[in-house]
Amino acid sequence: MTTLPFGPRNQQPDPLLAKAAELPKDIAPPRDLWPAIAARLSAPAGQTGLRAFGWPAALAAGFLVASVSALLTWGLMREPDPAVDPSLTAGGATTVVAITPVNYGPNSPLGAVELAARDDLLIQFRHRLDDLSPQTREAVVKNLAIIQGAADEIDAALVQDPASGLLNELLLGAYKQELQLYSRVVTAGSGATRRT
Amino acid sequence: MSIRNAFLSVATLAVFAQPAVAVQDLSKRATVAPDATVNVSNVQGSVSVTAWDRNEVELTAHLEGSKDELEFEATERQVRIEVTRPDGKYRNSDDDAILTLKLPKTVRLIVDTVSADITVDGVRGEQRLESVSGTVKTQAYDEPLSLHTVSGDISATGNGGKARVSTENVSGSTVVTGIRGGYEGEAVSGNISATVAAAERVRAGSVSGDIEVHADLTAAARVDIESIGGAVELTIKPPVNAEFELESFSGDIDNCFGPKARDKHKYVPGSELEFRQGSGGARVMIQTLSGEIRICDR
Repeated sequence: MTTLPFGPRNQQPDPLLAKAAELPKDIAPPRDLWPAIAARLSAPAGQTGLRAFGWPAALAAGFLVASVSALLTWGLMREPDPAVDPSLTAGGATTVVAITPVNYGPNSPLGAVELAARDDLLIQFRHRLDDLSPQTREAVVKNLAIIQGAADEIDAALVQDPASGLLNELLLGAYKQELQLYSRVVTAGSGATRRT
Repeated sequence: MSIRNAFLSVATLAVFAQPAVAVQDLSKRATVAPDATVNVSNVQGSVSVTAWDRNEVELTAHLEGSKDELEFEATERQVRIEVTRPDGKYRNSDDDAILTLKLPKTVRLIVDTVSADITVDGVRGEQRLESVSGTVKTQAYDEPLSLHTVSGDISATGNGGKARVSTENVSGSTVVTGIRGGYEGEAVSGNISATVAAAERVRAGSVSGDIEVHADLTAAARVDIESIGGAVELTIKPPVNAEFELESFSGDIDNCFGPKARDKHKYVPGSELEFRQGSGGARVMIQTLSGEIRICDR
């Protein structure tokens, strides 16, 4: 029997991520959390990437981006785990799984900020995905394809009704689901030594 | 007793299993506070938790992997249980780690697994249960439940308590029954089924999975359901006193009370329906792209 020290081993669940998860999803986040989004929302019409979103949807998009930032910060703050380092493969080569992020199409109101936040999260997601069992990985890839299908449907519908608040909200919902899928893979099992 | 002495008197255990044995059967026990926080991490196998009337944590572990290590740390306020494999070779391994726990009823429970199933019975404290591909099955009482999986199924059975239940799932199914007050659920392709008594706040979203909610609404209830391709079915226990805003881009809207849906535009598909039933009060908003919307009071 060995007695372990309390401190370093006695890890709590990540407080930052826990706080982010507790935040309401339908109110405006503090403005200092997302100055870039705020600047874009304050810009004259036509200068923002969120061109067809109403205020509630734009605020929700801003919140999502802020949540992604929190998640990325959490990822950076975590101790490096060699067990999940994609560069540490037998041959020394990276085995990052090829994943294509969802393409929201030419009619999407999503702007560069939202897509950049998604792409940052995607980097962590790719590394984690490679570490999952084949069955789980297959389920994740299949569901990304489902989100892509939904995004395609919405984009096609936006051609018919570009000003539709419903379509823009649903597209934001698809974007949110994509982010949640990535974050679920990035964070789930983080307390356990990942690999299966 | 000084703080220092109190700290020193706290029971502390840490055990590393013997690595040379092929299969390891271990058991550990510690006295804890009734509201202690218990953290459990496992990669593969299962985590089964049962509540009991003692202020003790009892762990029985069956480790099939010869190199698996069990770490068990306990203070009065905090317990940490983790199965690790030093060489990190979990992939393609058939070696499960079976963890069976008995805990005080009111502990705060946090379980995090990769492909290990999680089953919790009788824990009344707050629970946060997460798995990548394992199933999550638990009961809801009065404290919050947060249940997350990627491809595993989620099941939460309430006992009429006012637990705030939230679920996130990608492809597995989610079934929540017998809860009271509030529910929030998200899925991509997985179906969601929720039964909520005295509902104050219900929120659900999916991409292609179907959403089925049975609820009786309080006067100030707020129900928001959004699905892209999945069908949405809301059954409200009568009498219904609510304002409805239902909208689908190309799906049908069907209701067994109130007015019928009308076409949104002459040249664009889709239908919408806004009306007040009874004295209003509660608010119901449902949106879909192509999924059918059905509301009924029976």
